[in-house]
Amino acid sequence: MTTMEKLQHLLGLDTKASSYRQVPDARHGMMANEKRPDHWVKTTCGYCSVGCGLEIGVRAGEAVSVRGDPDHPVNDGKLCPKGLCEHESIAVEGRALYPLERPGRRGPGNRLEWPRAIETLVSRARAIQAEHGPDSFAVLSTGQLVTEEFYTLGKLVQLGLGTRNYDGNTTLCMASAVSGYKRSFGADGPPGSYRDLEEADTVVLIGANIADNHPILAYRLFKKRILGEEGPRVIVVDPRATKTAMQADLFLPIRPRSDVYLLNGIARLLIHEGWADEAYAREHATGYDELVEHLEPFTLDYVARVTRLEPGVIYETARQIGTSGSTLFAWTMGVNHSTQGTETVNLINNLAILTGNLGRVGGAPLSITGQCNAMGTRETGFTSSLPGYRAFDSEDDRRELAAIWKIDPGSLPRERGLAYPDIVDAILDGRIRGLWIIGTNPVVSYPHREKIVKALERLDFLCVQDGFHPTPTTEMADLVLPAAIWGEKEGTFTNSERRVSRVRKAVEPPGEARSDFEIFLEVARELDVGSRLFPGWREPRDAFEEWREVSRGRHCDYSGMSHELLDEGSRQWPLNEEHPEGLERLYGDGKFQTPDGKARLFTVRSILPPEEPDPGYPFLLNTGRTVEHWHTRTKTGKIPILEQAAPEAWVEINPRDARELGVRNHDRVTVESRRGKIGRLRARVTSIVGPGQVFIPFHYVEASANRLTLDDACPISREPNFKQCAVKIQRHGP
Amino acid sequence: MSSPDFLPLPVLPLEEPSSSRPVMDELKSLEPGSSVSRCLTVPAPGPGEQYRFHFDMTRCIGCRCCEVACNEQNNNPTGVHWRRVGELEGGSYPRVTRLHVSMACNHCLEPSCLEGCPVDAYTKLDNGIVDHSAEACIGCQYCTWNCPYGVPQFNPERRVVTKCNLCADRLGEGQLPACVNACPTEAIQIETVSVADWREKIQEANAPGVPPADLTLSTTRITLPEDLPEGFGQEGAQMLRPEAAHWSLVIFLVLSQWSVGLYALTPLLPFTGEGLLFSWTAGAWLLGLVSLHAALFHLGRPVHAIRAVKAWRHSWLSREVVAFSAYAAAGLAPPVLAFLDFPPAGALFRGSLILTVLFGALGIFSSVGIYRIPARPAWEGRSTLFQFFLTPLTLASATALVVATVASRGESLLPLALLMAISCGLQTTSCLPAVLRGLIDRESPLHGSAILMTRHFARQFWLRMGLLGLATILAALLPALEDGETRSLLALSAALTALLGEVVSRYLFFVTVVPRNVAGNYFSAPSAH
Repeated sequence: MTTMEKLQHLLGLDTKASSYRQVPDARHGMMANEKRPDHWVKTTCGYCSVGCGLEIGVRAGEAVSVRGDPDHPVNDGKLCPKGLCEHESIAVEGRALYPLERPGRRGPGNRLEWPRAIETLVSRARAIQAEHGPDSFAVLSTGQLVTEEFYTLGKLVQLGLGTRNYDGNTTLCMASAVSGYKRSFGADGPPGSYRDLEEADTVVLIGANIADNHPILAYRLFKKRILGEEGPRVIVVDPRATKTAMQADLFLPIRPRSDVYLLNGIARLLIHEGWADEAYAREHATGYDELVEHLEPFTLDYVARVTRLEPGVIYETARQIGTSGSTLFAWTMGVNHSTQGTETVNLINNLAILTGNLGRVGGAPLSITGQCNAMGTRETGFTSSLPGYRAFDSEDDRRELAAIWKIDPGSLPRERGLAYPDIVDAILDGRIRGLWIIGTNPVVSYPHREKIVKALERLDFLCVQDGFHPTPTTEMADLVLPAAIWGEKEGTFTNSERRVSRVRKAVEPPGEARSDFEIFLEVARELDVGSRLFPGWREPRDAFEEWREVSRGRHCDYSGMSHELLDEGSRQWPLNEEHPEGLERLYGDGKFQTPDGKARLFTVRSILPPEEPDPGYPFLLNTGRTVEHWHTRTKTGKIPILEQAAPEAWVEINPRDARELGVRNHDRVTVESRRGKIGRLRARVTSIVGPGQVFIPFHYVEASANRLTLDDACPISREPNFKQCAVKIQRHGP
Repeated sequence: MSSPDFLPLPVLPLEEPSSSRPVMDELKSLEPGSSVSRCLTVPAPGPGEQYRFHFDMTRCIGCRCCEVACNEQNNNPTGVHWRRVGELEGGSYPRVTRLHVSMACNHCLEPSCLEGCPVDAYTKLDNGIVDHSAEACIGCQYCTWNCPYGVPQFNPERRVVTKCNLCADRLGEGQLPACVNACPTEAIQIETVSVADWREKIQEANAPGVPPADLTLSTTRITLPEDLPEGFGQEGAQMLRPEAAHWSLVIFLVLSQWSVGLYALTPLLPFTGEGLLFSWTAGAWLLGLVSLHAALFHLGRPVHAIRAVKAWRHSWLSREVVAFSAYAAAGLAPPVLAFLDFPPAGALFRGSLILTVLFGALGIFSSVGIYRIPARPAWEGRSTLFQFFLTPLTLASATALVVATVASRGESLLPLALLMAISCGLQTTSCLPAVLRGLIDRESPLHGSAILMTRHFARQFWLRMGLLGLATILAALLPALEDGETRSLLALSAALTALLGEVVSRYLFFVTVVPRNVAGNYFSAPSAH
């Protein structure tokens, strides 16, 4: 502001009326002049996996506003608070602008030209691999790239770089759902649709606080109620009295980690009360008799005692599930974030199989995924399976894929490389020496922070490719590659209901940032594999075209899709000759992706959580999210309206415990586990949590819940147990 | 295995079909892709009707979409929130009830923002919307005090107050207000209501965490869950936050009242010679002038200050401006007459003095009227009246004592010292009844202020008590002392101590007022005014 303007401002001569004036916009109606765009760019939200359609308002090359896309079938124009101001995530301070080399991993670093940066990455990786073997260089990616980039990256890493040790942060959020689906149904892929949230007679939400974490699914769930019709009965299973629990018809405040008992107990009731669809289960699944036998000890009384739920409520839950025309079972991290995550998913799938809630309107086991395109990497990625849900250990799958790619089947790995937590362990014991991190912030998001920091420090070489710099992770890097983010690149996202939507570029990336796709192609060129792996590729569409063919005939069949088709509107996979409009629900034909075409019923016994409260650490810590923020806050922490709405972390403490600790609301406390501690954390005295339990949101690097958590992981999915560990609390001195 | 410890489960009541369904559900079918209404289908209000919000507390999931959508729609900077979401909690785990309360402007039938506005920037439109003109506004922020719901908010970027107008521009084009459009559970809706009927049903605007509807006749209909626990939501989750100190107003109030006191005590001056009368009245006039200019700094748009006289018929703030302007004009006469050696006992001097004091008293009375508002319980009580009239007596008598002792006119010290001791003593204790009541009764609207006063601002509170108490004692001691330098020094100390005490007192007056407001959330942003 000039002095003159400042004076005018102070005297009150200028009230900036013109920026605040409401002016008409042809598409979205009256809006503030300051935010009225020249044109709207249709795209898909880049935060969570609900996959809402939205439009970015662009004026003079800048994103100035966002509105929900009223024509998108997922959200009907509704958005959550993060989506409602998502354009602000683009032009924030702290974007990575130039490739940076950081000698000694300190300081702001030296600017590099792009070719030099790519050469550095490749030469360092090659040097490490030459000395310590091809698998001594690892790659950790994300759930936030577009599908085309995931497909490209998978090929680049496995066939170009030639390391098997490639995984994503998706292992931190939905790996258990993936493994659970694979075990129960022979393939990954959520069988249901969001419309089942509307059409089901009963919806059971297990460890899923959708009101905070997926608000637009709450819209779908309550849509009928809103329209004055009878909506589904809602049953919520959660140890916390969440915002979602408050909307439930029946709330089961379950003792943490007793879900295996509850799910077994419900299964037993279904069978004993004659509510199970035995004919369906016997015809379409194996293991029925073993299950019946296994369930015998899980009597209502026993289950009630372990779960600390009222027997009547468990019975009512089972009755509701068993007698409803259709039941949707939906879950998120409350189930997945556990050392028994995969098996818990199998138990949920058991209930769906026992009641025949598969492939029919309103009936499905639906895992609600975390990140916007976790599904894309599940399908096209080359991490826990070969692209197109192909198995590493299947010779047929390898041969088929090799034929499409016109390569020697022997060049495809026969087993998956290390999963995320195992990569961290391998860094610590020196097997892995170099790491390329793409679009994730493990210093905040990985459990047991001290361990991950030690691991990253131990690396000979760390390259971090991110849209933001500095982040706690880029600050540890030798090389920072600036990437374009949401709103700056083209491609597709696939959401939790297998719906593929277009992602579009609205504005140019800042500085010299480039799309991940371009960076991958450059790395391939430098590795001298570009023409072999990506012949003639110039844009994400080229990757999509190849991916279509790779997926042809597979469970996740994209063969009938194209960017042009998706430009007309989103579609669900499989989309092929047989299902030209896509398939709303999987397994309607009762055929599963197992060799015998039958689903599997699992017998699961509970294992103890890795850590339980004891006199030294008397509280059970639960971690999770809050509606205002996204993951590690690299974006939402820079958006004033979201940041001010929840500016710092807190710890929820039950009033009874607070009294004993002498802690009042808003007091500062120290929370400490065997692995670390957080000081000066703000206490929130509330009955959201039960006595003996505390909760901390994990978004905040300043008070990182992951200083406390442990990285024990599910033996099957390798997803870490974020949800339970033992802590102690001390009130801060005056 | 742990012992059976069956916890009773809260089963929330199933939602009853609402008796007055909003008329805006454009699409009733649930075909794929069909959506909840996004166009306004509420008919424009007919005669005797108005638009209003309906908030369904049973549906709100606390996602805060409405807050963000509102700011996006209106280009408001963070810190200005026309719609805010608060939290309420009651019961104990797991039988806990947590509800959210999302409130914007209630477009009241008797809007206190409008009544207090000195420039008539507010209009109650024919369709019931309480509209505010940023162009007319001078940024005095009086409406932000008057509204019991904290609705009007000062936008520092514009230096005017702004508020929710129910997205009148969107309504005009047949579009839904931004918050209604954004709400994923349609907990916020808009309706029309017959004004006469609503007066009968005003209780339907009451809810836990929301100030009583009868203060301004809020029109927001609130649907509550059935069988809410008794006393639910009385304790908010948010922090108790001090309000702004408003230093320009602290200075204005203390100095203007001091000035009026000086004029008023002129006849009591123990002597009039040696040009004292001129210095005394000129000093009073200057103090008044300085105070009025200080008040200008409070305005967002001082250049338009003159507009503030406009609404003298209904706004105490306009009356204050009118009275003090007249005071400043009339107050020039006494020093001029004194300078021209008009006799102090003469009709002209007396007359001008009486007129000045009259205007001054009217000014102070208007000041009292400004602060005695239902939206700010700590100001509403009689103590504001006492305090504002004790200040002139205290400070003017203290000034007179200084003059008297310095001029060694000890013979008439006693009445002045008595006056100061009594008024200052009363002033010392003037805040105590409200503080005590607030401390004793947790349900009292004064509770928050009492806690702020005695905990957060304990040091300032005891400083206030100490300073005013000390000034009282010093004043009482003065007549006992021999004439001389010590006595002058003591009088000077008494006056300075009293002045400082008054300033601290007025500072506390502002910072410890806890306005009525809609319940906040755990991180409630500090109020924007």
